[in-house]
Formats: sequence, C-alpha cells, structure tokens
Amino acid sequence: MTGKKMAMATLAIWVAAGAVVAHSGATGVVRERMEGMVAMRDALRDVTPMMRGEAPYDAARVAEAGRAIAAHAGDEMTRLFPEDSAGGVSYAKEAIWQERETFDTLAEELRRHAEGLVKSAPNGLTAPNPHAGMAMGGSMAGHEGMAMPGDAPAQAGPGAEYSVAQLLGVEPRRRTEQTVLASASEASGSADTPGYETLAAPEVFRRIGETCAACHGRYRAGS
Amino acid sequence: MRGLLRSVILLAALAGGGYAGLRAWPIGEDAPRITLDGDARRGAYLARAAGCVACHTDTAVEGPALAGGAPLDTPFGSFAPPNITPDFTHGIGGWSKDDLARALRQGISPEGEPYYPAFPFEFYAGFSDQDIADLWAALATVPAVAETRAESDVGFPFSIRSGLKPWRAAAMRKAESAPVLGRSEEWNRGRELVEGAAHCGACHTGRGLLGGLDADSFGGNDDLPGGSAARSIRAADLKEGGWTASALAYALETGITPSGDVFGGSMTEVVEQGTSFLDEADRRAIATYLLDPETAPSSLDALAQLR
Repeated sequence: MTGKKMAMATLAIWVAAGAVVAHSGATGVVRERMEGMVAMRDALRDVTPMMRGEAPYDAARVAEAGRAIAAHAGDEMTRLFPEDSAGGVSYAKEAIWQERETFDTLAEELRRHAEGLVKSAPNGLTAPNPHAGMAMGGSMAGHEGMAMPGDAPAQAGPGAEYSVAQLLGVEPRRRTEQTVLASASEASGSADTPGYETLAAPEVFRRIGETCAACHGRYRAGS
Repeated sequence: MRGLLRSVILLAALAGGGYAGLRAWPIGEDAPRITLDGDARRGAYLARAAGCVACHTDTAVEGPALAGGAPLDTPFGSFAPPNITPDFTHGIGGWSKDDLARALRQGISPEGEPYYPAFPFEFYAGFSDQDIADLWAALATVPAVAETRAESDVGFPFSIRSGLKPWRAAAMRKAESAPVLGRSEEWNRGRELVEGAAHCGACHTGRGLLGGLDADSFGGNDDLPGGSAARSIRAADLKEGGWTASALAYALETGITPSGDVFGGSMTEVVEQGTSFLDEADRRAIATYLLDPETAPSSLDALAQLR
C-alpha cells in the first residue's frame, strides 16, 4: 500500500467512525447508559398520567415500570460509569467520579424505590394503611401528628402540611421517614424494607422522582 | 514628559471624581415605616416560595438553616448568599423590619449600598408591607448562627458596589406582579408567584450584556451560573412540549415531567427546596398563569432589549 493509499484508507476509517458516532451520538458504555436512562424515562412517562390520576390505574403496568427502572438502577447503572467515561457526548459531570460514593448510593436508592414500586403497585392511588403517612410520607394525611412541641401546629392556610420550622428548613421535612429509610438501608438495602407495601403507589413513584432529581441536579449537565 | 504627567493627573482626577460621583449618587426611595405585626407561618411559606431558604441555606452539605448558602458562580464573580439568621454579627440580628423591606423591595443594604442582582430583589419589589412583616416574624424564629460560611469573591471592577448605581438606572427591571383586573383569582395568584416571589424569570428569562433581564420574558437561558440551562417556559413552547396545567403542577411537586424525564440543573433545587413545599392550589396557579398565551408580553421594549 502506498503512502497515499494508506492515508486515504485511514481517512475513510475516520470518516466511517465519525459517521457512526454522529449517528448514534454515543458509543460503548456511554451509549449503553444513555439507553438505560431512556428506558427508565419511558417507564416513568408511561405511568405518570396514572400517578396524576388522569389515566385509569393499571397495577400491572405500574409494576412493570418499577421492574424496568430497577433493571437499570443500582449496580447495573453504576457499572456503566467507569472511571474514564466522562466527556464527549456524555451529559455526565465529572462530579460523579469525584463523589463516587454518593452517586452509587443514589443509584442503589433508585433500585430500592423501583422495587418498592412493584410492591406498592397493587395498592393503587391510596395507601391501604391510614398510618402509612406517619411512617414515610412527607405531605400525606397524618403528617400533622409529627409536629414537635414548640412547632406551630399544622392548620389551615399556606403550607398547612408543614410546621413553621420545616418551612424555614430549621427542621427536616420528613423526620420520621428519614429514620425509617436510614435504618432500612443499614439493615439490608433491599426491597424487603418495611413500608413500601403499605404505601400508595404515587408516594413511592414520587420517591423515585426525587432520587432521579437528586442525581440529575448533582451529576447531569444542562437542565 | 510634563504632558504625560499632566495626562496621568487628569485621568486620575477624572477617575477619582467619577468614583466620588458614584459614591454620592443617591439610590432608593423613602418608604413609610412598617408597623404591622407579622404572621410567622405565612412568612415561612413566603420564604420557601421566594427561594430564601433554598438560596441562603447550603443544603448540599446540610448547613444550618438560612446561615448562608453555596456560592453562586457567575461571569462577574462568585456571590455567597449571606447568613440571614438573627445573629447580630454574622446575620441580620441588627436589622429593623424597615431594613428588611429596603433590602427586599429595593435591593439596598442598611448601610445604603446597592446589592448585586445575584440577589433577585427585582422580583420582590411588589412585596406588600404585610409580606415583609410576615417574613420578619418568620426569620425571628430561626436559630441564630454565629458564623459567616463563605465570602463573595467579585473581581475588579465589579467589586466596586457603587458601580451598580448606573446599572440600576439602566438595566434594573422591577417585577410587575400586581393583580390584573378582570383575570381570575387563580391567574392573579399565579402571576404574583411567577413574576414575583418565585422569580421564575431570574433563570428562564434571558439577560443582556450587563446582566439585566430581557423585557421579553421566559424565553429561556442557556447560560446560567454553574453550567445549568433553563428552557423557555412561554405558553406556546410549554404546550408544544406536552405540558398541561396538571403536568406542570405535578412536575413542580415531584420533578417528573410529561416525557418521563426528571428535572436536573438548578430546577432540582427549585423543586426540592421550593415548589414541592407549596400548596397544590399555588402550583396550579403557577401553571395556569404560565400556560396562558396572554401572559407573554404583547409589546417589546426595544430599549430594554439592549440591557
């Protein structure tokens, strides 16, 4: 092969490779994780109208969405973010690798909530246990009972679901829930966590959204 | 050589004169004293809605409430949201209710210095005396924190606060959040929140070269501090993106959008520390207002576009 032909061949390979990248936008683990994110997004999209009470509730589809998300969360997600996979077309911020433990924890939390959605799916839009709000809910009925002495009692008016101290950030929003989740993750980190079976599906779904948002806010570039 | 010396002296005199002029330039308006009593609950709710809690608390590291937030990195420098707990040295313990009113509604410190617009005071211009009294009552309940968590680091010449005075004259745009006659109560509540307290335009409205807000609101901004981007939230764009009032209210509560994507960037904090605390009726009001095509400004202020 002459030098000229070799140069042409090299150029052709580069053009072809460039076309592949340009077409898919990503390759390798970056592409794989993007596909995982899209699968989770689609799962959320499919059941969001149900969670808003605007489409007939379908427990099987909700459980299916939970399984789809769980399949791309936890270890399955974190393995797709190896050390050298930032940059290029990826939206992943460097902070992922600088705060690896937090990222891994969020991915695992997502898996737990997604499996929890499968468990709560049969409950539908309302919790079967009226005390479930005491266990995990932030804005559900029964929340008033959590107010500590000294807090302004929950009442009618703006922000009635919260105490003055919670509104101002002086006290955490879900004091009891945090304890439950912390002990659950210490115990096993599995979907056997007590609570999910007693919750309304939208409450668990909201948890999934919060975990996604916490991760996107920290580790995804753009909006 | 003598000519050069003369020029240097002349320039120095001009610069000194200019600086003295800026220092002496009066800003702000006198306002009657606020004697109303406040409602801490209502004030605490407003502090959530207005982003006081989100911005002045470093939630990422679980910092104490309102004791100072994470610095905001901008092309003009890094702005550290200060401690607004009632501590006398590090916070606002030495302020009066009227100092708070002046800071929020006019963007002027108790010492008479202008605040940088990283503090979105332009949006708080329409706060009523009762709003201020309520906020005052709420802030008084916050435990005092005796520390300054971070200092702002603003480069020259932006470090000269007096330089903000011409900016105020040229580029400052006070919120127009007052109710509009003939519109529904819900729409007007949405307007009050969107254009005022919730200061959606601070991120979703573009800014000119001097950092002033475009007169044509809510068209989006791809160049936010920290590399974040804000999409257009004009009614037509929202509708095209599949947003309904219900979907918007739900996203402001959960972060979950109609496409199944979940908010990231600055919007994560807005939802987590702000709109998710609001009453459903207020989230609906925000959605109603934003999705009304008539919310968009009908005529453009051409001069304002240059800011």
